[in-house]
Amino acid sequence: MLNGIAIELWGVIGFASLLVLIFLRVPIAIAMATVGLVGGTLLTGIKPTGLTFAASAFESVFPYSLSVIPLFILMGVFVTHADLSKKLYDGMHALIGHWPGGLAHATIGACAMFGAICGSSLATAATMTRVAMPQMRARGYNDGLATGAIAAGGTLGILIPPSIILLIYGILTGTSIGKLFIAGLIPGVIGALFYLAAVAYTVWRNPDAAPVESKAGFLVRLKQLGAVWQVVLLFGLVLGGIYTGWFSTIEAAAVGAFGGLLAAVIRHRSISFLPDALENAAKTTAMIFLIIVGTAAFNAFIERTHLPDMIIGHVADSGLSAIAVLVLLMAVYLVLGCVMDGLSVIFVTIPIVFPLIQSLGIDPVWFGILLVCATEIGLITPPVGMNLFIIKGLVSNINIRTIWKGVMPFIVADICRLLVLLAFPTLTLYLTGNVR
Amino acid sequence: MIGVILVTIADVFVRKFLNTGYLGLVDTTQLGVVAFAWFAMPRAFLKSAHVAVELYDHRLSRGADRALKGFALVLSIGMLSVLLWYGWTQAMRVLRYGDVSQNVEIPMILYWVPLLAGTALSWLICVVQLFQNLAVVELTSSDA
Repeated sequence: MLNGIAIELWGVIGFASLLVLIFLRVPIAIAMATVGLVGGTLLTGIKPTGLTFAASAFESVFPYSLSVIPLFILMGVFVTHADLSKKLYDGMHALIGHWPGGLAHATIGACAMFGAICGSSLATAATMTRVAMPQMRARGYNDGLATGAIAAGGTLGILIPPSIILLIYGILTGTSIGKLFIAGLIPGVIGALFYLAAVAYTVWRNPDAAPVESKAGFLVRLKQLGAVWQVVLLFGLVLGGIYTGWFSTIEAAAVGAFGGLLAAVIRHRSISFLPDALENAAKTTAMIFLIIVGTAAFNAFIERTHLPDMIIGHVADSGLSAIAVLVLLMAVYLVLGCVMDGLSVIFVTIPIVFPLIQSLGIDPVWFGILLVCATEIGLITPPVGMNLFIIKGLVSNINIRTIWKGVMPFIVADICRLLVLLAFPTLTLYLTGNVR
Repeated sequence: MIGVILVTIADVFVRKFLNTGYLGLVDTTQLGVVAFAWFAMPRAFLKSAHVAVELYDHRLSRGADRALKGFALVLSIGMLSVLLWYGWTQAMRVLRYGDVSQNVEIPMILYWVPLLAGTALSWLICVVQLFQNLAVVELTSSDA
């Protein structure tokens, strides 16, 4: 049917069509499935394509390993309903609130810890906006610094385990989820430290941006810090369980979800939050699984076109080193992250990019962390920057330009972190040795 | 899903402390997850929860916005139709062969039911949304 045109060209046309559909606002899952189905039909006919699609739609949701997705989503939703964010913020405020820019530092710290147990950057940004923004405004903090700290702090949730996006990368590429989670820990902490440096720099440049606070008494600090025991316990159980081999990732997810459920029940003293929480988790799960189904259809088509093989061949012929290819890929991901959300970027590019990564002998865990770091920057980069729009939607009387300006030092901090992680792979891989 | 959480926790506890386990854990977890994901699918379509890139929304006219929504719905209906049609074929094959799950022999057709029901309901929702979208377009053009 397609004689006369190189089969790889159909892969290129398919990929270009996918981008066109995405920019025509077709949901990512539908766009990927449509291109996969139309392309597959042109190559092999409707019946084999349809039967393969139905089988892959079933198999995309069936594997036991995929149960971690709804379980970690449930954990995040329950934790959000448990209102742990306020306790975390108060604890961090008591600990470091007296530093110059202390409330912004506290916001970053609370975001890192909340993101760790919540797993979603958008949920972290939305929750911390409600908790931290009124307090920073009440104390005369500059709107740019306050929103920049929340927007950037919110992105830490994407990397510090358990992370939904790392989970999906692991499932798509067959990379150990336990290793990815543990590998995200040090880069996540480095990210938080770089953000603290960005706050310090902003306050150093403009001391009026953050009025100095008095130091809380020792007993107050102890009491506020003690109140975050649920977060520490939950994080320790999930990550400690995976690291020591006590739990498999699925068991850790179930334990985390159960812990989150208990925390929410303790907070509400009822289960009235349950229908809302389950609905939220169900919608997110359905959204992610439909993208996995769409990706399966798109993957099948792209593999038939041998496009990844062609790209691998061209890269091999070009004589570029693995690190040069990696740097180029990160630059592409930075650009893509500015116009698409991280999850979409990963789903759309992995079928083409991952075979290349494997052919170059690049560690898939290291690449996964770098990829998530690069796409994470997109969450705070104009014009898409989802976290910025969430804050804009939740904060009254604020101009989006103020938020953009405020977030700039944090974008620089993110790029510095990406360069550090590129230069020193051991920072990412150091902890992964003990994980099965 | 709450059941899946509780069963998994119980299995961890029993395995660690009593040196035994629940044989059907994997099969029942898979059934729970498949049901949770596919039965939630219509709700996700109803609430437009599927991720799309909304880069230039604020610059679109109402007409263009509706046209793009309609286009996305047509593609969704097409994709869901293929999934429903060939999913039914695959499910009937599974039923004919009497396939069962690996550990506790749950009939595999039970795993296909959520996929087919979720897809059919999602299809229906997309069709209704498309008609609503067309009706709004019609109304707007007759007003003009």
